[in-house]
Amino acid sequence: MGMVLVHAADVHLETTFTEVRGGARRRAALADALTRIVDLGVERRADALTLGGDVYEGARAGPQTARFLFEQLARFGGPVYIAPGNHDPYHVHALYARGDVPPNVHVFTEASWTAHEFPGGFLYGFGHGPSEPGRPFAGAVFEGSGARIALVHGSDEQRCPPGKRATAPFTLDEIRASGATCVLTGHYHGGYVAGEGGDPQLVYPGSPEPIKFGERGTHGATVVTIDGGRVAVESVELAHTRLLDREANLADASSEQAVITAVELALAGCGRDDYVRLRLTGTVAAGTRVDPEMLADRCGTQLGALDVSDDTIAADYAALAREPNVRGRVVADLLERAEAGDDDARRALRYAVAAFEGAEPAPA
Amino acid sequence: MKLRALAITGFGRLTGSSFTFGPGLNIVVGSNEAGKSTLAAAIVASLYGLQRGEKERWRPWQPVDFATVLSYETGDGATWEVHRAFDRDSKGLRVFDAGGNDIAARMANGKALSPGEAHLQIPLEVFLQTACIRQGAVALDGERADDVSAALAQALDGGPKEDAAIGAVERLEESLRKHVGTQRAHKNNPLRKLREDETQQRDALRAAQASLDELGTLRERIAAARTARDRDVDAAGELEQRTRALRAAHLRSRLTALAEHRTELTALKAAQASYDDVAAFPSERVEKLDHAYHAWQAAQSVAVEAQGELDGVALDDEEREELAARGRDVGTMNTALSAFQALVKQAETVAAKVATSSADAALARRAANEGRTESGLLLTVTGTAVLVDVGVAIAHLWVYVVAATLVALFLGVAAAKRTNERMERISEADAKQSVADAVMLDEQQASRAVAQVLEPLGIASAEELASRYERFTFLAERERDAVKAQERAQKARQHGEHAAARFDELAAELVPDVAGTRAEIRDVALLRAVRRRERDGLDASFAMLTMRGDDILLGDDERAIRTELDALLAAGTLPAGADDPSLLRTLTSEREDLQRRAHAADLKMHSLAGELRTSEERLPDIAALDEALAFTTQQITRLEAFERAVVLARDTIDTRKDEAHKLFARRLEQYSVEVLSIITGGRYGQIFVDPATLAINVRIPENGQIEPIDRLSMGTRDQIALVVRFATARMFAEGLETPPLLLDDPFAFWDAARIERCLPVLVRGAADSQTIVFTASGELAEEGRAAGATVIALDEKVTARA
Repeated sequence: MGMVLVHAADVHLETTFTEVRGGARRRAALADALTRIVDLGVERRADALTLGGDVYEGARAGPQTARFLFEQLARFGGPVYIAPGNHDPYHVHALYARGDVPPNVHVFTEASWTAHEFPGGFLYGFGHGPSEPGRPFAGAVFEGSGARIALVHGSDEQRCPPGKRATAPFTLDEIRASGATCVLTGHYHGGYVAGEGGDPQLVYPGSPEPIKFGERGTHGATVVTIDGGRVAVESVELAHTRLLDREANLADASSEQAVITAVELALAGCGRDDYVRLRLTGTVAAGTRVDPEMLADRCGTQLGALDVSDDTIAADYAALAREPNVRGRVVADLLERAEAGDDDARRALRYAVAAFEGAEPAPA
Repeated sequence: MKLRALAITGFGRLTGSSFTFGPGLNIVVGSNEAGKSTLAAAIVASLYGLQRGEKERWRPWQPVDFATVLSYETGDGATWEVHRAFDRDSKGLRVFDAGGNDIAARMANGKALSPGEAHLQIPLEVFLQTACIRQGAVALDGERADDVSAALAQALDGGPKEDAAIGAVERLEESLRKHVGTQRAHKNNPLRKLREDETQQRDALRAAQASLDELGTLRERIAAARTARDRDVDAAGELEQRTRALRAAHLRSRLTALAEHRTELTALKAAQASYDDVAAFPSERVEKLDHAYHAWQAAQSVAVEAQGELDGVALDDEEREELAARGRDVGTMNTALSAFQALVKQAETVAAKVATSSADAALARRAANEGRTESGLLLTVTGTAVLVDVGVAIAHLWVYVVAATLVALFLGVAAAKRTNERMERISEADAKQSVADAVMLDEQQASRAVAQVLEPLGIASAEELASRYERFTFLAERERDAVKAQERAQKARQHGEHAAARFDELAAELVPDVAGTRAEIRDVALLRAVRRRERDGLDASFAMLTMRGDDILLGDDERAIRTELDALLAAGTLPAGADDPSLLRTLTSEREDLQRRAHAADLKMHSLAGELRTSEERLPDIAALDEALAFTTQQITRLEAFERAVVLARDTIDTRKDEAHKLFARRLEQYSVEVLSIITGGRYGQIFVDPATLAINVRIPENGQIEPIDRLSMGTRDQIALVVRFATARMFAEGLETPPLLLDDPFAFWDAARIERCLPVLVRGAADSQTIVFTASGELAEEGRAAGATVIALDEKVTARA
């Protein structure tokens, strides 16, 4: 039996959630996820736990976070290796620099490779400091005998998700050139394993809980088995939280009750661990009340959080624009601007039509 | 558009009915509940379909198909037939052209477009507002006087609300007030409140983050204090080892010193015992004894010496007699001696004068002799010069003659002067010789006077006088010396006796056990004094040794020192090679300093740790603060976007409303006045419409004033209201298909007067666009028929069908 590592990253303890409400519960869920990572390590009798950075958010993490984190890492019992990331960089005020870090925890404090020997190979660690560390694999050469496992928080340039900031970038070619057998990393919240010939060379475990909407890939931890210089990776889903984008088409809703029914239908199957962004669409019948706040309040009680955005169309704008009256001209003016990409005009169109319908517009 | 016919299979109360419409004025007459409004709704539904919620309202009362067929002609002369099966909604629509082609799908062009919208080019709402006049809408009596303006506004602005654009703007502004707030609002100002909240939340977040940083700084300071403490503790530990080694060496050294001290003390005590016999001897008094002894000795010596002197100078008898004899002549001899001495002094003075005078005379003669030689030489030279003068005169060398003459004159004068001086000196020498001779005579007289003094004493010469006097003086002095020596010897003997008595007294006190001479007694006393001093020296050494012992012990006792050393050795301390108390003190001091510093660092560390705990307890949930701020910012952004959009909507409506109202007001005046002038026989020729309120005013011909139509008679108001509505419908149709005008009992009732006033308006209006008037007034129907209108009697059809 070779060596077993449990690898996780991007727990983001004390992060903020601004896309939907329910931040406090989600932060608690992140802490639960860390507990499950340690549980996994204990269950699998892992020889070591590796954390690929962004375990917490340095800008907000205080003593309570430190106590919880260190308590969990100490509970694991075996060695814990941490490569700090861009959100938890190592510096004198970092939690990792506190005096109460458990003795089984080793933090790679330098933005350069440091080797640790283990039975059957070497673990090389690279930590982030307060400044951007550059390309970690540029010029790196790993020559230890056996498996050469690299632990770093960085960005696979070839698979960078849209809108994600690349930190400590690298490519598979650089990894191969360095002589690393496999890189255990973090930064991308959607987990995946990349490599060639069936050999995993790059492992993103993903964040144990989804952090932002739209993250693709797994959310959990990976169990890495190293035997005879070869590496096998098993992804283990740990996430309980789901971030869901749902849509409710209100085209057939002619009353508020119908709107509620449509919304409830769209939310079917969602529960307490689901954080939902619900988008209301369709052209509603004139005069039908659509109140996003009421809907969020009424339909979100059984969910982690529910944010409702009203993108319904209050009327057939094109038809209104043809009317030979003031409303027709107003709609025509605003529609023209909206179609040119003016968001204010798009909203103004909605509000103007609502006002003509006798409704007092409310912020969407 | 002109409606031709409507066939109703089933629509509300109407079933199996067919209606044929004339191209101009149509009057549908029927009693209440005869189905006038149903027929009007069937026309509208055939053109535009049923609206949401209307299906059940107009479902046939009888079990027949819910369907209608409407045929009409558009302005281009084309004819159309619209088949509606209302239960099938949009799928139940068929539109056939003149050729029998179903063009519904093509007309809709993928959208839910009704035939009404397609051919009239206005939506249902606009059609209802402009072409359909509901029951009583034109009656301007009582409180409904503004209905015309309201209806105009609704038609002009659009939308289902009677307040139209003005109401829309008001609702937008109300919405801004409610959700955003205005600059003047103090209480309800959500956006300002949000911005204030945002500022507070940002401040709170910054403070929280500063507190978090402060925690880091505190931990850093604690770590620094811990490092300093550990460093000092380590250094103190090292010094502790060294000081323990030095301490052990020191203790061992002290124990060795104590052993040596003890040995010395024993030896000293033994030595002290050998001097016990003089332990009480008052050695300090031996000095007085010795002093008395020496005084006695010295007095003895002085007495012997004085006696010897006395023996040497004492006069014998012969000398004593001689002294007595000389004593008797001593007066005379003194007088002679005094006189002699005065004479001698005088003779000496005279002799000195003689010698001086003789010397002066000899000097004067020598000078006279020297002057003679010089005078002779000068005379010789002068003569030579005269001879030379004569010679050159002979040679007639006159110049030389003059020179020689001058030389000869000069030399001659000089020779004469020197000769004169010599003669004066010879005279002076002679005078001085005379003085010397006189003094010699005085000397000789003085010598004779001395001889006269000595002669009575029988003394021949002055030398003898001196010898006698000297002998007298010698004897007298010996006599005096002898007296003195005797006195001294006596005094010395007295002193000696006194000193001896003193010595004896002291000896009896100091050494009473000793007998012998005074010298022997003194020697014994001195010996004992020496031994006593030696004993005192031993005592001093003992005291010093005792002090040294105290110094070694330093307040401890030997047992304690040994116990401490044993403990150090048992703890593994290896004593240092040499005892170095100075180094031990230095290192001990350094170690104590380090321990003090370590203690201070420890206190500081604990103080900071307390501060850290307090700060940690106070640290707020930064993520929650951050999140709250983000949501507030989002809300602000949302409200700002809302505000921009609402303002844009409001301004656009305002702009378009003002623009449209102005345009429509002017044109409405033109349209209305044309008709009004005709039907009032030219009485009212001018209508004015206020663009802001759409209020209708007319110029009163009697006074030329422009007045609201409220001031006019009921009949005129009816006429004007109808005219305006016709004009409105016509204006909206400009450029479009002219819709049929549906008037559902526009007045609550028709009496003869109203029929008389309004029928011409209806007829005139129907000339421009097909008009269908729904009424319960049989009189109107009859009058209309008479005026050429198509009359449809609804009661008959319903009755027939029933």
